[in-house]
Amino acid sequence: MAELSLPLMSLAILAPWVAAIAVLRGENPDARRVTAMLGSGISLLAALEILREVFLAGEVSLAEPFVPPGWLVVDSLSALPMALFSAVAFGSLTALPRRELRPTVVSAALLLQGATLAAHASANLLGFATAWILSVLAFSWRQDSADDESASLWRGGTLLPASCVCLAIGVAWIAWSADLHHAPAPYVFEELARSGAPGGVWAFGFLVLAALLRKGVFPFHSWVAPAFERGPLMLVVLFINGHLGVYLVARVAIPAFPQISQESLGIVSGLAMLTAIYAAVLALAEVHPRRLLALLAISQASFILAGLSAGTAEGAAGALAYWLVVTVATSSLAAILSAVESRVGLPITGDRFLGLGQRFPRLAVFFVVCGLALVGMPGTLGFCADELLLHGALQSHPQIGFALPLATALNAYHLFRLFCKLFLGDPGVVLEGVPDARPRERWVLVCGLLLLIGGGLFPNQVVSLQERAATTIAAVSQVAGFLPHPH
Amino acid sequence: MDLAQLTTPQLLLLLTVALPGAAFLGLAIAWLLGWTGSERVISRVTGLTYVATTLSAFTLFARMLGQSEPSVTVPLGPWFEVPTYSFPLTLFVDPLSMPLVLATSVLIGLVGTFAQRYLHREKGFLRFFLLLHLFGFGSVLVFSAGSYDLIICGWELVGITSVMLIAFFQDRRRPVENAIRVFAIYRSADAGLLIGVFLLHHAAGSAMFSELFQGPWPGQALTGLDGASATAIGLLFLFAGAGKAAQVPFSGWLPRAMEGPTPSSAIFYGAISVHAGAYLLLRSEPILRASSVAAWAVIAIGAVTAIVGGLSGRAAADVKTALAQASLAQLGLIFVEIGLGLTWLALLHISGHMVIRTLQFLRAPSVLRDYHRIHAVAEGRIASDELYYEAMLPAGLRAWLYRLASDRGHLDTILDRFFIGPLLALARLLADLERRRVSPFETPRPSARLAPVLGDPNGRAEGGHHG
Repeated sequence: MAELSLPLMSLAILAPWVAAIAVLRGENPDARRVTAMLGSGISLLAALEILREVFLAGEVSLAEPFVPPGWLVVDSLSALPMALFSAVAFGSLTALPRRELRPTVVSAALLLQGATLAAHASANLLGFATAWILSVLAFSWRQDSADDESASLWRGGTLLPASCVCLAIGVAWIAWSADLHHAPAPYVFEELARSGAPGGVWAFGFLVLAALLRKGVFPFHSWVAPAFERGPLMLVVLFINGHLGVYLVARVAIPAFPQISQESLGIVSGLAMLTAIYAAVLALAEVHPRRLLALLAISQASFILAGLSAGTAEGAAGALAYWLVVTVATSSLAAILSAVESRVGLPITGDRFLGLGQRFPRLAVFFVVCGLALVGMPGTLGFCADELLLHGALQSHPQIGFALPLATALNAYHLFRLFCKLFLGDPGVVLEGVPDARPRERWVLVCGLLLLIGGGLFPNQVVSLQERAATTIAAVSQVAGFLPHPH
Repeated sequence: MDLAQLTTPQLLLLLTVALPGAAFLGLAIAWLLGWTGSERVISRVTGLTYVATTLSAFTLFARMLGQSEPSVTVPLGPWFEVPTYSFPLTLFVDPLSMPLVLATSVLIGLVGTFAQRYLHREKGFLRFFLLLHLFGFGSVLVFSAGSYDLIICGWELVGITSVMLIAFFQDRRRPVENAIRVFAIYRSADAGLLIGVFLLHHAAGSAMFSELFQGPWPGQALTGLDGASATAIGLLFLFAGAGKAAQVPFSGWLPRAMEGPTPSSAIFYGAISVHAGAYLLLRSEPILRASSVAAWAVIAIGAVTAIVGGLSGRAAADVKTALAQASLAQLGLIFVEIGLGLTWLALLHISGHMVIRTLQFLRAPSVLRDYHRIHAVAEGRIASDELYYEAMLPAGLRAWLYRLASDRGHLDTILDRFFIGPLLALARLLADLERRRVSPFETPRPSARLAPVLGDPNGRAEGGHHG
């Protein structure tokens, strides 16, 4: 197997972990930010170099040098999510308001970055499951916030630990089934994709259940809104945007269980669409900005799963584009909300109009553009993702054609309502001397905006980056026989 | 796409569409880079943009007439593509869309010139012109799209700029609330367009006009759709068009939209935006012809809107609302004409209505001054003869009609009671169930904590939910 030029994956994983330890020792918040940005930035540079090498390498996967074979491998499916997640983590840490720079929060974010990259870089189920559990632990790490009255709730209650248990049972089931046939347990992804996994419907079921629990798919969505409301927003959004649940389905569930996938991923797709509609309807009764953002994120992110299970190249390309849009847009919206909260000084409940747009016009514009990209406004990448997803589902899952417009219509309304509550109306808060977007916030948000709008105006550049991954997913799906009428 | 290979008409069409978009992008990027927006520069950019757009549209129109070119198509290649699908970016004008493209360029230019003085020293001056340019780009794109997919792009840009301008006076609560309401209705109606286009792809395999409709407009032949599909798609397009054109049952949003500045009321609700719904149906005329159910639904909705709009206009207490209701009535008649297949008449009606209504809206702020001037010129001889058609009706019926008219046909009440109310009730029920599910962990929300900062000692929910 071909190798990366340097041990870049180890660097991408270890740099944030080292920084995580370092920030715990620092007293000065500014020094803490610099350390965090350094660790996260090195990881981002390594991830970008990995992405470059993967695309130069073509179809082949690249292994990590100096690491035993079968542990760390990167290919077209994992390289882009790694780079994207690193960029989002780096941007989130850069834009994080000063008062949010608590040592445990920053450290947890860095640990989460390393763990998520480790999950994407893992070449086998054991490594993946370990990274999965590590990321949940990093997210659930006890915070030092004084007002953290219901910590167990925002950390996901029992649902996130349950996802770890389900994943562990799924992996154990595969090992046990292989043992029954006196065969070595096939943990390596490449082997799983080539010859399938033992364990049948139970192993598949536990793996998919783990994905649904982590992703917050109905009826396991109840941890997400409280997490947004009570937790450190940056950390929660970062955790959600790892999309490891989706990655588990794309990397393991579909390729390792092609026959069962064919029969049962329709249910997953149905649940994803139900989640999209359910969260959008639920949001009608919600005014709290953080909870609204949570419901928007759940609803829109559901379509990633729906697109993956469509089983076509368009559907997979749409799902991957959606992945990018949801990740960048929700992270940007959360960063803006955090910035606004830190300027107002207290949590915002959404009970009344705040009229902050006059004071923070640039933050208002960033908010509305990122939000509209999330709900598929033309001229943004969200529109292209919508189109690809709809066309991908045209033959195999036409119900997406009804669910997507309805959910996005409702979500667009929620988003506009949230925008109005925050930025329009009679200014109720006197904020003399409080700045609009600071330079570090502005640059991060401009990068997000460039990706969303540049990707919308010239989507081929983004789609071609993901084309190989989309083709791989579609090919696996077609082998599984998803497509009644392959194009 | 190679620009050198395009013919002159193709280049002119491309220029007409691209110029407002370029003006928007230029001003927006300059603002993001820190430019504060000088009124003189904004006015000059606007003037130059629409002079150039109008000239290029007019030259194109003249060439089409002079050289008897029935249509101009600009295939710009795929916007994005994967191995099995591509989104074709094709611009297209024909005798239906060219007059509307020209009217749009001229009217936006005129309204832009008017707004330079009307909004002089207004703090949202730059915001208004940014949104006007984006709207110009979106509306020209709607009229010159070569496929329903591309219509969606322009359609949604028109929608978002419309609501942002309704909330233009953003420090007042009412315009913002009305903008939220209008946006909700727009997005509901847009879902009809999205699902309709999706069904079109599903049933016919394409949403390109050149593949769906054969021959010159009007009287094009429809290909690839059976009667049932045509009915479903026709009804969905009617739903979308009715939302945009404020037809029954969505009519309640139009008077609310009058909260925006007068120039935007003129261009959106007098001229272009409301006519986009009628254009969608005119463009889909072969689909309506293939489905008598859809055609009759268009006639019925148009007729009811004309009656409600006519009645409500007579009970309107301010000039902008009266004009909005008059627009509704005319749009209702245009829908009837479309349903009856009188396509040329509908196109003429749209073009004339656009122009006269824009003029009326722009004169609306001066209506009292105008009246006094005419009154003085007539040496005080203008007097009401106190004769009204309603006087011929029985008093009871007259009172009932007045109540109906002053509540604008009870349409908002009907929507609230039978659609928004049940949906909100469902949402609250689900939210209640959700809360019970997580109640073992739940602690009271910190909603009261913001109250002292905002000056509301009780932390009372002032806005609450807006359905």
